[in-house]
Amino acid sequence: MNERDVDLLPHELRERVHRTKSFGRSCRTALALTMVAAVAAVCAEALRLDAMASRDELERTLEDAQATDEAQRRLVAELAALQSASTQLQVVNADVPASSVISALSDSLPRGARLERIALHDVNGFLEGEVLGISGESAAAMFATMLASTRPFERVTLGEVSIADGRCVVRFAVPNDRAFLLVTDASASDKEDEDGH
Amino acid sequence: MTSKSPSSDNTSGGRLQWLTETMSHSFAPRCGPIGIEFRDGLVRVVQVARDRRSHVLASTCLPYDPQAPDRVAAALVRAIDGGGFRGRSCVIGLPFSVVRAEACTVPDGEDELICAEIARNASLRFGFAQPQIDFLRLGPAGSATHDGRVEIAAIVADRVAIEAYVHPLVDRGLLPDAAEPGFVSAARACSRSFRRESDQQKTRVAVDLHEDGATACLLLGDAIAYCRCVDAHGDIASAVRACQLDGGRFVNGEAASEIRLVGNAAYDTGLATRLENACGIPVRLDDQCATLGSAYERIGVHSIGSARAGGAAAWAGAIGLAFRDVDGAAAARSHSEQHGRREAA
Repeated sequence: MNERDVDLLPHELRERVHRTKSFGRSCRTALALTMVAAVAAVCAEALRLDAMASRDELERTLEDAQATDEAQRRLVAELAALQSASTQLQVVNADVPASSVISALSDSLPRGARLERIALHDVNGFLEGEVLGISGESAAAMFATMLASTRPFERVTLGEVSIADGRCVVRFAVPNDRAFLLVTDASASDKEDEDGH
Repeated sequence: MTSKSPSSDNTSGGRLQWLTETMSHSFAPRCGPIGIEFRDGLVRVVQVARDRRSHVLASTCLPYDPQAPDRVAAALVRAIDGGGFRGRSCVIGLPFSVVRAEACTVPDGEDELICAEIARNASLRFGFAQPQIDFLRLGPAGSATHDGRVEIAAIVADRVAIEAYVHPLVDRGLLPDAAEPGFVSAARACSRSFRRESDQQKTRVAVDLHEDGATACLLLGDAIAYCRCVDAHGDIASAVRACQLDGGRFVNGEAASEIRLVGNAAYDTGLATRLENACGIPVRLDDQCATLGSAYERIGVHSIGSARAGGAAAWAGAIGLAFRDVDGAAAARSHSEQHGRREAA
């Protein structure tokens, strides 16, 4: 069209339209700002509710943890009390000390008597032994009596007696568990350890 | 076109649909102003998209009762609210009866000085007690006669009549950006496919036909080079010939290649034949791009029958209004300031 378009709108009408448009723009701006503020408020409220929910959940978790911790502390205290009040059995496992058996046999042998051979066998938790060639029946009987009275020798029997040369066999058994079960006071042992250090 | 306004459907569903459509319009392609043309006892309303194809977004047509402008305005706003139109910005097309245009020579100067010169004897010359004045410079920009005078087309309207048309619309929330005579918007519609630089020397004649008169415009490119009005009893062919004769100096003597008829009377084959015989120029109702025809395909006529609303040529003025560029804020502001000065003068 031409350099500029024709416009016959009267000035008063144009001003009125201009005012209306300005007012409309202001209203739209205010509405937009209000909507932005409302959205921000809604978001803030949502965040606050979310934070409150998280806080409640954390509080519940903390309470659970505290309850668990309390039970654990009670258990530890109870265990400590039990430890302090109880003694501990310590079982020491070791091989049969043959030298001790032989020493005990030697000690039980009557004066003047002799033996030829000692045989030891580990059978079903017992150390079974034979003492061969004890000269003299009376010496063998005395030896058997002495041995039977020595603990933990058990099942001490006087075996075959050779009439010809007067040699006897004495059989016995030593229970492994009883022989080597040592009962000690744990607290006393700990005290000894502390004293040692 | 099927959407409902909250005023027409107060149910929650209707309000939700209206809100949804309003929101969707916010993301829709840009659109031009609502063109509202008062012509031949009808109000034709069109809005087009601001895209390459400029397709029609919405349209409606209502009868105009000059005795009840408020009622017409209310019905018009209801139709706009429920007719798929976007926004409240509009351009008003004034009927022939309230506008006169006349070529004249005035002392060259600023626009407000030229308006003051026109206003000096406008009441006597044009018969309007309170004239609303604008003008078009004829001929190339900066051209003036040897005595410092310039040829213009003085456009004078009846301010009281304009206010009678526009105030009821503004009262109901419509926001007119401009009001222009029918021949200007008709010329714009006829120049839609002549905006390229290569078309600026092409000369045509556009005849804007009303029930009570007509205006013949000599078009050069997409500009009005000359115009002449005739009343209902005048000879349109004589006006066209006078346009070619008197306006020839503004188009470098180029002969018009065609006559475009705009208005409901454009379909009068007798008139077309008379014009062709008298002027020796072919008469056409649309351009080669079928600007009006393609727009008219999407125009829906709701309130009255399509026969009375007219064909594409009858809608050309309204379509031209919808084509008007009202986005140039700075230009509009300066134009507004000029108008303020003019009316003060």
